[in-house]
Amino acid sequence: MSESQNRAIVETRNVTKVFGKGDIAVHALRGVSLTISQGEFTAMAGPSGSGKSTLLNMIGCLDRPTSGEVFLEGVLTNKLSGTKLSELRRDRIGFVFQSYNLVPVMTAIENAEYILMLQGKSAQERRSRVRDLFQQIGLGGMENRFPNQLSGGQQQRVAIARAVAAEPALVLADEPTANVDTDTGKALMDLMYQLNEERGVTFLVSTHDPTVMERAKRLIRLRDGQIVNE
Amino acid sequence: MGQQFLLAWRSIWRQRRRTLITVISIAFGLFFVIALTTLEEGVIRSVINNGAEMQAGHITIEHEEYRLAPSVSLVVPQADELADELEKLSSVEATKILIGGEGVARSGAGAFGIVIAGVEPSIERERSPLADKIVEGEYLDETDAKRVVIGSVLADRLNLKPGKKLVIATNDFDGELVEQLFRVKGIYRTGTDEIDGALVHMQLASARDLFKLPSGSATQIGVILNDLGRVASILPQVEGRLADQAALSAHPWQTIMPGVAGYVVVERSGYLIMEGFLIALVLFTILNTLLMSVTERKKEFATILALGGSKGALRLQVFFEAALIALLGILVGGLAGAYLAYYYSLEGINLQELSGGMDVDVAGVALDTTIYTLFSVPLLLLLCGAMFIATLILSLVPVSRVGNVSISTLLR
Ligand SMILES: Nc1ncnc2c1ncn2[C@@H]1O[C@H](COP(=O)(O)OP(=O)(O)O)[C@@H](O)[C@H]1O
Ligand SMILES: [Mg+2]
Repeated sequence: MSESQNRAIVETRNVTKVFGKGDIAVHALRGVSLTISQGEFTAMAGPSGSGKSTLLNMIGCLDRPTSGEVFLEGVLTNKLSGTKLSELRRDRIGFVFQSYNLVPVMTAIENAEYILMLQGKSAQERRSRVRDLFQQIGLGGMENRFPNQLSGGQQQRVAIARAVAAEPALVLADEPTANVDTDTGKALMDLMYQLNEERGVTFLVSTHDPTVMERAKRLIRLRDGQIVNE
Repeated sequence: MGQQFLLAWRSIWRQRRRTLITVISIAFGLFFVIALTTLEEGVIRSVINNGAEMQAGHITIEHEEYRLAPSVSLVVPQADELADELEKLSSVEATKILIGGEGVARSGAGAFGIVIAGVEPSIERERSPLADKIVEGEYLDETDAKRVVIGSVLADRLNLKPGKKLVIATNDFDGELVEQLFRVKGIYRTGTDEIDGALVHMQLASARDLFKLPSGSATQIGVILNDLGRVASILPQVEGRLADQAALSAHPWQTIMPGVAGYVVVERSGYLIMEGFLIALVLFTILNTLLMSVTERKKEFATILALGGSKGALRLQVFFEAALIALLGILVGGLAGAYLAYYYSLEGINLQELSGGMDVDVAGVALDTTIYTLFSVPLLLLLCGAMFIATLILSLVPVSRVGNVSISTLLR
């Protein structure tokens, strides 16, 4: 392994998250320490309610931990301002959601280009970066369709294209195959592995899906807000 | 910004039905407001202009004490020359020289109090609604000395027909009791008993002779403008011409016709209140639509914020959505309303036919049976602009709520 592959993209130290207070308090994370290095493909498994999404929220700077520290490329994110976190998400993190979450009023290619647009890249640069990607992930010819004109699998491919187009340090995917059938799910996983291998994209994918867990290079199991084994 | 505009345009058409309903409700509301405003303002203009033409103009010049205690002893000297001079002012369409007084008309059938108006027949023929409402005989001519036109009610009371004689008694310039014999030339009917039973027209020279006024004098000069809206700006100019005659003063129509002025206030408040309710209803619909569309898209907005998009961009988009819906509604309603107002400003509406016989007079002014709507581009722009601005202000409510989404619930 080269040095760059060992570079830590994410490091969490004893992260806890408590929702609510007193009797109704829910301890969603109970001290999670985890390191993810550049180029890794990590699957995170665990039963429903075990804290997978909550952990992704902490790492993805969508929410702040109750205690503990989250480092993204060496930067402690806990105390950053909302604006800084927003920039960090835009520039360093790609998101893939369970229910795709494409912007319904943008075409497939506009969705895929969206982050590049937010970054202020020119239309020309955006197109040139995304066009090949579309071919690669099997969306050639779908560029000008709106999300509601695409199947679930196709929408998730667009979402993956959106997540990787701006070359983030890390892509977070929360149960990306949960809303599609088994074959489509397998194809989506293939795509993510392919992007990991060919482009070196670092993935952290939460999942219920045993086939995903089998194939993952690294598997983390979560139960009751704690990592139980690796 | 172009991006937000494009997304706004696409967004409103994703909810095609709702957008169309909102657009139609704005269009309908605006259409109704334009229709009502231009009609009501048409009626108001007609009442004021009729009053002004029938009575003493949009601006009236008289002796400064005449208002408080009208008397033929309080005159405007050299009224003829002053009138000629006033006619040279811009926006002045005509002047009318008037001699007004009270008296008693007598025939074999009895005696009744009357209001005497000495007028210039040529001007009355052209302008006064009275000259159009002759039912028997004819209106006066310039040469008709000692002849009168009376109303149908008075004609009945005194049992008079064209060609018959009556005696008019009054006090003259010096306060002496005088009476003269006149012959009926024509009988008019306005439909308003107070007018038809009292107002008697005679030629200016006959009135001067009856009241023994100094030559060239009159009790009032009425200034008729070609645009009702110019009264306030012309009044100071008229006052300027009177500067060397300290005893004279100029009054706007509101002072001369307080009944009409009161009617205008009441009528205008009435329709504005009605429009206020309607606009409130339309605005409520718009607010509802906008709020619904924002609430429904919480997830869409949260996604954009999670990906690093800005609240400002989202707010701008929602603002554009409101503006686009408003613009479409205003375009449709405004054009339809403008067409209606334009059409009836040329064709006129027969209000009596429409309502099956409404009031024929307002504050003693006979109302035209055909009303021409007020087609005024500034007025239309004002109504459309007000609607647009109201919608934009309203849109600040949904715009302010765009940011109230939680991005931490996107991953579940
Ligand atoms: N916003 C929230 N408010 C209260 N409880 C929450 C919230 N988000 C998650 N939880 C709770 O935290 C626990 C972990 O949830 P989550 O991270 O969504 O689990 P998973 O993604 O593994 O199914 C659950 O018990 C869930 O009910
Ligand atoms: Mg989850």
